[in-house]
Amino acid sequence: MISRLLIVTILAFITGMIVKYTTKKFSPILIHLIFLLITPWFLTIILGRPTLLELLETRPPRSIISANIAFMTSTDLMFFRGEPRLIYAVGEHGYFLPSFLPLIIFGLWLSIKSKMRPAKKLLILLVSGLILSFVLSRWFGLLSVVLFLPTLSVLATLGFLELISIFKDKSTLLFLKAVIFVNICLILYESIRLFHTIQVQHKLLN
Amino acid sequence: MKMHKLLFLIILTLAIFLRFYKLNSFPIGLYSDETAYGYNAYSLLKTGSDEFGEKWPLTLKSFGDYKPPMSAWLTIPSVRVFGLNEFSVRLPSALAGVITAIIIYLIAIEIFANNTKFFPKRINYIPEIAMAMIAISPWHLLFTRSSMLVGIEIMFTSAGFLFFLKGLKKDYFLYLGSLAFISAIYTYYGARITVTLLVLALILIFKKELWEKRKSFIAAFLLGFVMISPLLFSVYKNPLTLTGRASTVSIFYDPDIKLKLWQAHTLEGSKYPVLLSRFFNNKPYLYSKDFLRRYLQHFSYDFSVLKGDSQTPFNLQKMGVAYLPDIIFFLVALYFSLKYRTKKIVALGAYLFISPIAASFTFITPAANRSFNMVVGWTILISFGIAIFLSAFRKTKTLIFALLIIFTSYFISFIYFLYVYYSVIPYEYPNQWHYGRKQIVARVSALEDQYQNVVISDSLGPSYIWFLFYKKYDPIKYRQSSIIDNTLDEFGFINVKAFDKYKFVKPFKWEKVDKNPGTLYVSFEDDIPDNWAGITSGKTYATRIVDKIYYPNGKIASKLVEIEVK
Repeated sequence: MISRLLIVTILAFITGMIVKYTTKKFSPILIHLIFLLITPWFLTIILGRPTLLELLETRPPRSIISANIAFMTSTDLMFFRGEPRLIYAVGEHGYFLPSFLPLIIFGLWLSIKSKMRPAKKLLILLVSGLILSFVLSRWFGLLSVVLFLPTLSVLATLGFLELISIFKDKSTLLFLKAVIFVNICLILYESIRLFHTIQVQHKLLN
Repeated sequence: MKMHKLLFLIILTLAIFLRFYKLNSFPIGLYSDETAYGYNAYSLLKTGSDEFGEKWPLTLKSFGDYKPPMSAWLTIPSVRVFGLNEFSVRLPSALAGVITAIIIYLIAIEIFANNTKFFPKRINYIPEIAMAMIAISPWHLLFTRSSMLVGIEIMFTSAGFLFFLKGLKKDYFLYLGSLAFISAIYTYYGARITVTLLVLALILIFKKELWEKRKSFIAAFLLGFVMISPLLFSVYKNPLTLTGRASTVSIFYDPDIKLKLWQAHTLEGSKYPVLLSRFFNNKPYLYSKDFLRRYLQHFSYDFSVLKGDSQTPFNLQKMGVAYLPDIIFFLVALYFSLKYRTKKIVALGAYLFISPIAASFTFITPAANRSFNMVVGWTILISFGIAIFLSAFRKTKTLIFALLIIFTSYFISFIYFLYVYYSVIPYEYPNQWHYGRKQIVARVSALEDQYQNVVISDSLGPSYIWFLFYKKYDPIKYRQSSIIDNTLDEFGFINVKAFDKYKFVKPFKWEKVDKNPGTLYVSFEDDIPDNWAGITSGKTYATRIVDKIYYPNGKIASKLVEIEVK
């Protein structure tokens, strides 16, 4: 338990620092930490089910790099179902809640179009993390996703901050505001649902 | 200019060659749906009615799946000229494939031509690249070399899209657009969702331009309404005209979510209040999530490059629906089309992202056929991506080098596709395209005079349709002699039990089949044992193999068996 808490503390600290480095502000760190606490992949580490060893032993079904790419970038794995061969303490969730999808896409778009250095570095971090995990998943199984999931979490935070600023902007179309509002409501709903699932799973697993 | 014309002609020749080369033999067999369209066209040609005697129907009952009629209508002239065979059935689709290649060329001109905002003029060949990409696209070739509805539907939908864009300048194109969109609706069920959403998106994107042309737009809209009114009337008479077999393939029919809900409520029932359990496990949320999951599968690496469709015959087995280099150029194009978006680029994006919506409402995903319209946006965006990539090379030498790399990567990918399509599928997966049925009909026809009855296994596919098709059986005689169980099975199909001296057994379990001397039995693969013997009324009966039909890989496709009294 202590080792798992140590891992998540380190991860939260590093990603928090990246958020600070990218946004140049402290307050987004708080949002980022809240987001981490409602992110299934992060909770999986905290709850220890599946264990790190189980993740390490879960390899892509085929050991060619092309199949690894398909396996690791599958939206089913990332947002909807997780890896069906494993039993999760967070139930049938992917690494992120589905409502995080727009946040990640938006964060990604921001970092691509931004001319600021930190955002570009974030992109390099993501791409290199992805490439490394495609290669290493052959030996490190699902544990290698840890090379790119933290960056995606940072991107989700950045995407959320940008969405909030669009929402606050008076010139934003009402329709767009409604879409953002619905997405925020969905994040709330899915977060509560996630914790409910964890409770049910906890009783089931024990 | 000469270069553009020359390239156009070369690519057009390539597109024609790739769609017409050995059209009657590849795919290796005539799939049941293709056969049904062919025979219904034949029946309409001969009697003015479909196989069930319905006069010029707006939906073909066929296997009980109520097929849209356009493909059968378009096959009539082809059957009239070339007779009832594989070529005549596939001809309209192959022709539609070539026309679609030209349409994509014109759409690319409409969106990108002479737009030097993005890249130097010397590499402004997006229309030619787009046409070349569609000419060699595995996805497009798969569906335009077979009579699978979507090959024709995409021609109409993309034409509607092109005419709409052109209609923003010249009014009469709006009328043509309306005709094309409605024709797509008469061609494929999925188009009813795709076209509706696409038109709505186009109205939203070009609302200012359309307001200036409101009279023509309303007239075009009314023209469309008049054209669709027979279908609406038909829906009033028979609701299946609108949806066909959609109800049995929709996510709402699939027990998966219902099972999950039941499981969740059961698990939580004793521990949590019912309301709370229903709040967390409810249909709207789970179905929306399932829809989104299936929608995103159509943009996955697995679908595009590795595996493609999850179902036969739309599965290429060893590859996806696109080529590996496509992914890079698609991502490049996505970025630049967002960065330098014009209204027409947004419209193209809308077309691309609307295309998999209909497919995502079904539980068989990713579906290459139901999301086939994606290929238009996908191809044009890739060509845009290639042009953007090439524009990065300013010097002629480096540009030639980059061109060589692109050409080589696509050439290798294309050769691999040809290997899969012409060698792997026919040899390793011959039944995927129902190979063997033609040979069965030929052998049975040669032997049937010696027998009172022919009993045929319906284990995989409705065999009656191949007998009707290859024997060019008189539709009137068929209607008089057929015995049909019109009760829909769990997949939404009816069951043709017999016609003439042919009896079709489904499910075919040899032990349960009535065995009589004087009857010829036709198996599907091995569903009749080689050496069977049984005793009835004191007599010993045994099977005798009359003939065997083999797949190209040497495995048994069918056995023709008779019963001997020992």
